[in-house]
Amino acid sequence: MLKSRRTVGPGRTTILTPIAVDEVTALNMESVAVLKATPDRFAKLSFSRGGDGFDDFDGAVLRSAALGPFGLLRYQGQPSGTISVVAPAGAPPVRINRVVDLVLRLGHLSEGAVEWSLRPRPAKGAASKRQAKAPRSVSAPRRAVG
Amino acid sequence: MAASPVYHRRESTTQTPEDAQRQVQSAEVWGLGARPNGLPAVKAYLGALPEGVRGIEFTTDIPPEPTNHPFQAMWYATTPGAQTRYDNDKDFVVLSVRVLRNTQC
Repeated sequence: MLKSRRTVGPGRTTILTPIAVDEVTALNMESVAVLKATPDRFAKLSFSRGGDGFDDFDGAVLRSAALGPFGLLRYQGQPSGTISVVAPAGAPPVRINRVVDLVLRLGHLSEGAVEWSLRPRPAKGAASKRQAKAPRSVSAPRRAVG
Repeated sequence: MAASPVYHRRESTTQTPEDAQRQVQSAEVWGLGARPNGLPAVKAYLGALPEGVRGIEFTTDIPPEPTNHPFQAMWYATTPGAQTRYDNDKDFVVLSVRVLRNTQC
């Protein structure tokens, strides 16, 4: 059984719920970013084996109350030291960037970890201004139980 | 003249040895939508099949979507040159390819 966890930051509450990795296919997710990071960077997440039309992967798929579903996938054949961020195909650019922001926070990663993104990332200055206005923190959900 | 780019698909749950055999025989790679209303796509890794990895290596005259993805190539139904087929109640994207290597035999 999967459990959800409410996480409270200084400026905002983020609720993340682990969902089955099969949802990557069911929700028609596509790669929206590649980060320079490995799954152990997200040690609090539970990675499971799955597969989609591209390749088999070890992945963790989550649902954010605000942003909807997204996933972190480590495809079997992708370059070492990288991890893919996936979101439902056709997601608006703003949502994609917010998902990537959230994943960066989950892994305590800086913007420099973004090796590629489907949509242009906001300018660094704009991001820091926004963060200064509404500081957020997020922590990982509990591991899947059962 | 520049050589055509090379792509590969690794053996996986969606790239079985039977798939590889069909791809060699038909000179086509088929891609399925993830769900009935999902966008069907052919997905492959950029570059040659790494040594020791089971899969197929192929080339095609049809350029993938210009996403600048660091390791993934994608062809949708709307990608110029890609074809679509309806088979067994499903929509597929079909890519004409030349299979250069099949290590899934």
